[in-house]
Parts: sequence; structure tokens; C-alpha cells
Amino acid sequence: MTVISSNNDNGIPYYTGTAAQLYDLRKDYLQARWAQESLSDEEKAFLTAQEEDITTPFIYRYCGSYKSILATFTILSVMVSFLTAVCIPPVSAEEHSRKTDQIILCTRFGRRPAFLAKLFTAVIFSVAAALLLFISFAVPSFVIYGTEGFSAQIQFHILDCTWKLTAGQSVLILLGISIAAAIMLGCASLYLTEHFRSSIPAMGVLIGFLLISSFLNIPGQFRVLSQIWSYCPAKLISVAGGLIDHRLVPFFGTYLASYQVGLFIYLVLAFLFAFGGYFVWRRWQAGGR
Amino acid sequence: MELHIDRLSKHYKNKIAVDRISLTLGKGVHGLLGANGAGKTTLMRMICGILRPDSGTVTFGRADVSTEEYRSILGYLPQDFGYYPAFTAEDFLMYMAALKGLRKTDSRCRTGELLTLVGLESHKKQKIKTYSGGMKQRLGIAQALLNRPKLLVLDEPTAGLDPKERVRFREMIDRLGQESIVLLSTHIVSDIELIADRILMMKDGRLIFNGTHEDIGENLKEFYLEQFDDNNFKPSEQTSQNLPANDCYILEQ
Repeated sequence: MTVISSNNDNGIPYYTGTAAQLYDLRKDYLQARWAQESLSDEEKAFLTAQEEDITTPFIYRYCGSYKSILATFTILSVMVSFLTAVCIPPVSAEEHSRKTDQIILCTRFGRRPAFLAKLFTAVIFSVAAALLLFISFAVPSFVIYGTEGFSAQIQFHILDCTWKLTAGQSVLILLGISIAAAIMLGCASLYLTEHFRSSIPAMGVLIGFLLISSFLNIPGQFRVLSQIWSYCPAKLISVAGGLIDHRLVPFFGTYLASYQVGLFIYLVLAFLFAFGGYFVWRRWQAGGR
Repeated sequence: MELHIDRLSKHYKNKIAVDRISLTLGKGVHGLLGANGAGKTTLMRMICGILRPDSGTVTFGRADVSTEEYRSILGYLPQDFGYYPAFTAEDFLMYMAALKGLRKTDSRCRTGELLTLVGLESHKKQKIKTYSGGMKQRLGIAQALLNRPKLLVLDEPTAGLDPKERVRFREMIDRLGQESIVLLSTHIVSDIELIADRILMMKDGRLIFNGTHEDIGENLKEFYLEQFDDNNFKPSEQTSQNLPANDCYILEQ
């Protein structure tokens, strides 16, 4: 087997050799990576079983557009977070900044219906922002690279992905997580605005969290903390975070992948933020201004 | 239906803002008088459900202040009335009408009626940020009347109104008092004197008088000043010359 010293995008060295040697090399690489990520034996067994479901030999299919779109999800997550942080708090805080909260909260529909309207607006805005951004990345990719390749095996392009997914499915998974994250961020923006009764602190918290989560990495040896931190939208909504993070979460006798857990966490957090925001809105008290 | 206030109290760290006030208010105009810091605004906010009392209850018929049913019959004009500067008067009233549960056709009709009533019909398409203080106050009164409230709470409604507008306002409140409970607070004794069926006086969070003109038996201005005997203050001649002759203002030492 001859190894060429240059690496491809995934850091795997090029080689020439037989098919069996290729797959053995990949298997050894994965094993080394799982050991590095401090996976338990049960997790390794689960992932090995997933590996056995993957069709080999890998069949090449052109999927240039999907590859291009997958690479843009990191930017999408940052932009959705930023847009949500900047646009939702100023609108949501207007009742407090303009002092119309007193007259609104003593109207018939001024409590729950008014809050539901604000929540609906926040969620619709953030989901629409995510979808529009996705379309703005996807349409040029499809125009330039073509639309074929939905059913291309993802392993051909992301070698260390252990899930039996196609390129198109991978795009849809990350899009789904992006939408769930957008819902959560919309609800979080609304909750923070109601809590502070002002847009500036809410924006500060959200932008601050975005910056910190973009730049701060927790070393892998602190497995639990590192894994929790990896569910931040800036980290999870990417190929590296959503598709090739092998750290699993046990769930009633089986394991869930990061993209499955992330989706669940975002929706639960969205519900909690929405409920918290309603609780704060409903219990607003006049005075102190 | 009557408004029942039962042992309502609110206290802050260093002060008792409202001290065990109990009242029953029926149809008519009820004037609430008191110096600054007497607790009038705090009491009104608790009646409107936007300030939680430390103890006591407020009910209208069988509806508690926290219910949607109570809020559906309530109209409130706060002391510091807020608005959206970019809205026109028409937009603002339509928005408030939606929050008060009026149907769209009813909202349009009612908005038109009220804008005419408060004299803003010709300015309805202008943005509120271009309005004078008196015009904004009139708009505030209009929004309080949108849902034909059975309970109307007005906190210093004549602030910023010129004498002609105040006369117009008094006539409107007088008419409303025939069908609803109107509670209005003011510093201007003559407003109360001319239209109130019942007079309430507050001092240091307590209700010190609850009665009619007949119970007072004398000039209201003098009676009011007597109630605040330890704060008795005769304005100097120079100050008197600057005040309108028919009004008595509450002057603090």
C-alpha cells in the first residue's frame, strides 16, 4: 500500500491500494477516533453495528450541490442567531419602552392572546429567516452544481460519518436542526426581552452567547461538559457537529446521535422559554418607572 | 353591578402605599382626591389588575380582577399614557379595539365615533408623534372608551387639557356616569366638584372621606383643605395671582 503524504479535506491521507485495504484503513481510523473521544464499549458496539448497515463498497455519485450546501450550514446558524438577536427584542420590548403595557395588560386579550401573538411572530420570523437563508445558499448551489446527488452515499464525501445517510438526507437533517434552533432562539429572545423588559440586555445576552459558543471550545477530556457544549447551535448546525460527532446519548436501551438529541433539546428549550416568557408577561406589575 | 374593594393593601419597603381600603362603588362618577403620594395611582392600578395587592380583593359582580371577564368591562387611562409614535390615531384605536375584543366592523364604527367625540376626527390620519399633549390625552380617553366599559378608571384625565376641552370632558364623563362606574382621580378640585356624585379622599394610603356633596355640606375646596389640616398651606398672593380663579390646587409644603 502506498501512502501519499498530502491529506484531503477530512485529514485522511490519500492512498492507493485494494478496496479491502481502504475499508480497513477507515475502520482503524474510526476506532482510533472513538478511543480519542472517550467512547464507552457500548457506544463503540452501537456504532460498529451502524457501520455494518452501511453499504460497501461505497458507490460514487456526483453531489456537488449538496456538498456545497452542507458546508454553508455553519454560516446559516450564525446568521440566524444574529438576526434573531437583533430583530426580535426591539419589537417585543416596544410595549415596555413605549409604556403601552399598562393599557394592553388590562384589555380582554392583553394577556394570553397578546403573548401568543408575540410568540407566533417571534417564531415565524426566526423560522422564516432560517428558511430564506437556506434558500439563498441552496438555489445558487443547485444552479451552479446541478440538482443530482440526493441519494449519493454520504460516506464518499464525509468519510468518518458512521450513519447510513445520503447527501440529501444529511442536508435535510441539518435543515431540520436549523429550524428547531430557530424556534428555540425566537422563544429565547422573547423570554429574555420580557424578563429584562428591554431589548438591549436581551440582545447582549444572545449576541454574547453566540460569540462565546463560536469561539470557546471545551476540551474533549471533559466529556460531559464538552458534549453539552457541542449542542450549541453554532456548533451543532454543521457537518462536524451534527453528522460526525460520535458521542452518543443513552436512551431507553439504545443510543441517540447528536443530531437527534439536539433536535429534542431545542424543542424542549423552546417550550420552556415560551412558557417562561408567558409567565413573566402575565405577572408584569406596573410601577417603578 | 357594583365594584367591591375589600381590605385592599399594598406596601413597599419603607411605605404603606394603600392601607386596607374597602369600598363599594355603584353607577355614577366617583372622584378620588388626594395629594401626591397619597396612593391614588396605586389604588387605581390594583383596581385595573396591573398591580398585585399584598392583601385584599377587587371584584366586579362575581368577576375577580384577574379574570378576562373583568378586563372585558374595564376601561383605563393611566397617568403616564403610552402610545406608538408611528401609529396614526385611527391605527392606534383599531389596534386597541382588537385587544379589547371588538370585531373589525364594530372597531371601525366605534373608532370613528370616538374620534369625533374627542375632537380628533380631522387629525385621525396624522401620526401620534405630531400631536400636542392635549391631543394625546384625548386619544387616551378615546381608547379607554372603546369597549363601552362598565368600569372606567381615569387617572388624572384632564392633565394637559385646556379649559374648553376640560368642559367637554366633564360633560362626557357626566353622561358616562349615568350608565357606568367612573372612578377618576385628579388634583383639580373643580373637576370633581362639578361632576362627581361621590367624593373619595385619600391621605397616606388611607381613605379619609367617602361621601357626597351633601355629606360635606360646605365648599369642597375648603373641606378638602380642612382634611389636610396638618399640611394647611395658604398660598401667597403672588402664587394666587398665577392660578386660575375657579380652581383649587393641592399645594404641598
